[in-house]
Parts: sequence; C-alpha cells; structure tokens
Amino acid sequence: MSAVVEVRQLTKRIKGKEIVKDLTFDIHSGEVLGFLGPNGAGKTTTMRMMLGLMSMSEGDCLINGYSVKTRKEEALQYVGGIVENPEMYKFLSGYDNLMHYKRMHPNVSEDRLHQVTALVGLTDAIKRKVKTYSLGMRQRLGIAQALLHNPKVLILDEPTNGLDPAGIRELRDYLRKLAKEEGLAIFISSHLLSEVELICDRVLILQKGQIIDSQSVREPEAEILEIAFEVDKLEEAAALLRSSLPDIAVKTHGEQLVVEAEREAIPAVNRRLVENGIGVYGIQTVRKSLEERFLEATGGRAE
Amino acid sequence: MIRAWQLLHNEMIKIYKRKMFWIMLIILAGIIVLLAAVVAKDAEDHSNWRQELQKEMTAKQSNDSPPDDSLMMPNEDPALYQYQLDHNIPPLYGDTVFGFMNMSHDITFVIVTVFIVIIGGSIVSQEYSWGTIKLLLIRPIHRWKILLAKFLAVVVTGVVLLLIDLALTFIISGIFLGFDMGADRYVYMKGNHIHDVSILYHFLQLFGSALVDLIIMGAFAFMLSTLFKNNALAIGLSVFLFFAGPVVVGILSSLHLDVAKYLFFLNTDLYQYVEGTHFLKDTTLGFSIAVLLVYFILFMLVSFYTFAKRDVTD
Ligand SMILES: Nc1ncnc2c1ncn2[C@@H]1O[C@H](COP(=O)(O)OP(=O)(O)OP(=O)(O)O)[C@@H](O)[C@H]1O
Ligand SMILES: [Mg+2]
Repeated sequence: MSAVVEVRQLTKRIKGKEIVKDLTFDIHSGEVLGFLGPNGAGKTTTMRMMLGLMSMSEGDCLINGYSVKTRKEEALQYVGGIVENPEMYKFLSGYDNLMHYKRMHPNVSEDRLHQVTALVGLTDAIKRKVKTYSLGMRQRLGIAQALLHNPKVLILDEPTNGLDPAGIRELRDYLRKLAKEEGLAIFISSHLLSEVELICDRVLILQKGQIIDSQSVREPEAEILEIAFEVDKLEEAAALLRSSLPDIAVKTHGEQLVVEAEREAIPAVNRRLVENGIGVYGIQTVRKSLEERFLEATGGRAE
Repeated sequence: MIRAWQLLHNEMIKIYKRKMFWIMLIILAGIIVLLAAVVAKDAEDHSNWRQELQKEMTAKQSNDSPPDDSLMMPNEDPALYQYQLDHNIPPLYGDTVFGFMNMSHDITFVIVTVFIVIIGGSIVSQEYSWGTIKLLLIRPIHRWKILLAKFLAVVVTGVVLLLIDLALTFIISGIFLGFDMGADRYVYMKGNHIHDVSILYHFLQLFGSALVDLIIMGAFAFMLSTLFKNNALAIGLSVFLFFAGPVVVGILSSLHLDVAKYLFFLNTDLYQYVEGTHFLKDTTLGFSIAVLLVYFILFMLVSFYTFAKRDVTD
C-alpha cells in the first residue's frame, strides 16, 4: 500500500485562532479512512484545505505527489469530493449537472457519465430537474459527480447526511467496494461513531483541531478480540492456558477467564480446556467498540 | 483552449437554462410590442414629406412654433432640412421601421443594460447562495479561468441581448408598420457640419456604443458580485448608479465640481461624441475611452484578485 495522500503539519489559523493544528497523516490506496470528531472539531476545515477551497496557514497536502498548495490544478485531477451538502444546480437536470462537471475535467467520456449514473442508481431520474430530487437522490448525484473523472482519492464530508438507513448501507457497501476493487483512497468525515466503524479501516479522531488518536477499526485477518470463558475451575484453567498456549494473553476478570486472541483461536482454547477436565459453561467475545475507544480517547465525553 | 470553450459553455448554460433569462426576453418583446403599437396607432403617410419639411423649415425660419406633427420627426436645423431636400433624403420618421428602431433604441437599451447588470451582478454571488461554489472550485482548473469564463459569458449574453433587441424591434415594428423601412440615410449636424451616413452605419455606431456601455456596467456589477457575494447589493448599486448618473452630474456641476468627468458611469455613452451632444463639454472621445479603460482594468483586477485569494467558507 502506498500513500496517495500525504498531509503534513497542516494548520489553519483564522483571526489568530488555530482551527486545525499540525495534522500529519497519510491515506493509502484501497483504504477507507474515517475522520471522526465532535461538532466544530475542524473536520470540514481540514477537508476544505485538502480540496483547495481554503488556503493553508502552515503545512501542505500532497495528492499523488502534487502539492495542493503550489500545484493545485495537478493535485485536484486525482480528487473527487463532497463538502457538506452536495448542492447542485437545481434548475438543471441531473444529466446537465454531470455534463457541467464533465466539461471541467480532461478526458471524461459520455460512457463514463452513464456508468456513474447507473452506479448510483439514478439512470431513470437523470433527465429530471434536480429540484424534483429527494435528498437521498441529491446525495447520490453528489457521489456520481465525485466519481466522474475516475479519481484516485475521494474526500467526502459527511456523505451519509440525509440518507435513510437503506441508503446508508448501500453507500457503505459501495464505498468499501470502490476501495477494495478499484483501489481508491477514501477519506470520510462523520460525527457518528457507529457509522464510521462500519465503513472504515482506520479512524482519525479529531478534537479541537488536533488528532488525538489514530485507531485501526479492524484488521479482518488478525483482529485481536477479548474472549470471556465461563469455567468452573478458574485458577486451574488460567494456569493451564498460560503454560500450554504462551502466545495468548490470559487474565481473570471476576468469575471469568478472559483471553485475548484471534477469533480463529477460540475452538483450540476451548478444546484444551475441555480435554483437561475443565467445564466450559459459556464463551463470549467482547469486542471493544470504537465508541468506547472514542470516549476513552476524548476523556469520556465528546466535547 | 478547448477547456476554455467548455467553461464558457457551462456558464452560458447556467444563464439560458434558467427561467429568468426567458422572462427577460418576454419583457423586452412586450415593451417593444407596446411601443410599436402606440406608434402604429398614429402612423401617417409620409409620401409628401418634401412639403412637410418645407413647411416646417419656413416655420422655423420665421421663428414660429413648429407645426404640431413635428413630434414624429427629429427637431433639427433648417440647414439640415435643406440638405435633405437637396439630396432627397426623407426624415427618419418614428413610424417607419428604421425610424422606430432609432427611436426605441434609447428605451430598449436601458432595459437591456438593466438585464445585463442583473446577470453580471449575480453570476458569481449566486454560486455562493446556491452552495455550488464548492463543487465548482474543486476542479483541476485555475480559479481565474473560471472567473474569466463567467465574465465572458456576461459579455456574450450582452451581445446576444443587443442582437435580439435589434431583431425584435425590426420584426415587431415591421409587422406593426407594414415593413415601411423609411429613410436609409441618417443625417445629423455636428457643429456646423452636416454628416450623412448610411442607416446601417448609424446603427452599427449605436450598437458599438451600447456594447461598451453594457460591458462596463456589467463589469462593475460583476466586481460587486465577486466582492460582496451578494446579488441584491451588486444589482441594486449598479442599477442605482446607472439611473442616478444624470442626477449626479447635475449635483456635481451645480457645486462646480469638476470630478464628475472622472466618474465612469458618466463616460459610458460613447455615441454622444458621434453627434457631439456630450453634456460634459470638456470631455473628448479619447478621454472617455481612457477613463473607461482605467475603470475596467480596476474592476477586473479587484474581481480576479478577490476571487483567486478568497477562502470558500460560505
Ligand atoms: N471562517 C471562519 N471563521 C472563524 N471561525 C471559523 C470559520 N470557519 C470555521 N470556523 C470555526 O472552526 C471550527 C471548526 O469548524 P468545522 O466546520 O471545520 O468543524 P467540523 O468538524 O466540520 O464540525 P461539524 O461536525 O459541525 O461539521 C468551528 O469552531 C468553527 O466555528
Ligand atoms: Mg463539518
């Protein structure tokens, strides 16, 4: 995985106030990076700077090697974006809106336009004026416009705003697919933890303009879980596992034996216990939700 | 190069695909129909124009009040009448097609200017009020190119509106006045000299002068629109200055202030130098052009600088 987006010491000051402070992070191809933070944390400001809508007070953002600061026109070729609500020209049809953006990029074919239209499921409505669209349809037209020119990077500021649960799930599946199959780097902001948890591979947590934590949401192959075993002979079981499975962290927690291991290790641990005459009454995986981690990181409260 | 054309295409679409543009055309056509209908109601037969002219000339020479049908013809110097009689050039009667076009131009041109001020004064600010500015500026295109496309779209629309104005006055007055074209020469006095030009050349001069006026008023509204991101302010202030121009001159000259001649909106009518009717007597065509150029460059610099530098925060 290579970094297509490199953000370095990015800082924004407005009237002497630091709204975004010294952000440094990478976004890799094929990765969905979440940008989580309470209202007013500076997510939109950061994204506006990355998209060249706002000047940077300090630092830079490189996209595909091009500086947004000094070579904005090259850098923006590789980026598609939505900033807050994707407002479109309401008096034009969806098709005319896409044509409008198509004319602003080199080498976007009419075929590509139809392709993205189909992708977001707007083929039947595309000739209608945008003012007749529902909020969800506008949001999807926004996604279509962001994908039109085959970008390498998508920067989406709260793209699920206004979508219903089905729409959110659809968008989520779709964005994951784009990242996995087409290798897009996707940067999504949100203040909904549950949502980010489901879409993203990794999350940056922003508070008062600073990154206070960077977390991996999941490593599908080797995610370490906490597994609680309800057993009859607690101390004996713990000693047994410590001696026979030294790679696995074991501790006791109240009446439970808590093991930190991958999901795949559960049957092996269970078998070991049973074969040694320990009665197992229940097995439960306890995954720490991002919410807990988020609250942990922000000191128990969102703001 | 292709991309510049594409950007202009986008801006033109955003003008003509809106109801507002078509409402403007309907208003323009409606006013021309109204004027033509009024003129057609009192249309007269001018086959004996020579006698009419003769009569008026003697009336003028004997210092009598002019005959009451003189409203339909320009009130001119007797020497001019003599020239017309000698060269067989009938007066430019308002109830002939060319005469109507010459007369109605003053009114329709004011309307076209107001329309261009509305378009120029909203073309940038509306992207902010619609929220579309964000998606417009995250493209791999320099901001100045986007702004230039917008300004060119205002100029192109100005040319188009003027051409439509000409075509509509021609067709509508033609229908109402039975395509009686009238004189195909335009004669006027400048100083003590009689000038005699073809009517087409005369219209071309009017058109050119109108276009300069449109471009400078459009540029002014455009600058305000870029600067304040506010259509109402940009349009209001531009229209106000456009109409307040003569009043401002009056006030300034009554105060014996000479600064009036440096105000751009008092220099926009270049046609006044063709017939020598400019009310600021110490200005010349060259002076007005220089003043307009300086203002135009200033308007453009302010627009391009603020647009290129500004953070888009809406
Ligand atoms: N132009 C501006 N002038 C002054 N302060 C600003 C400006 N723009 C943003 N801010 C401030 O910067 C902070 C960050 O705003 P920003 O919109 O980036 O937050 P956000 O993380 O996107 O919040 P939300 O979740 O509500 O969208 C806020 O406190 C806001 O008041
Ligand atoms: Mg925001």
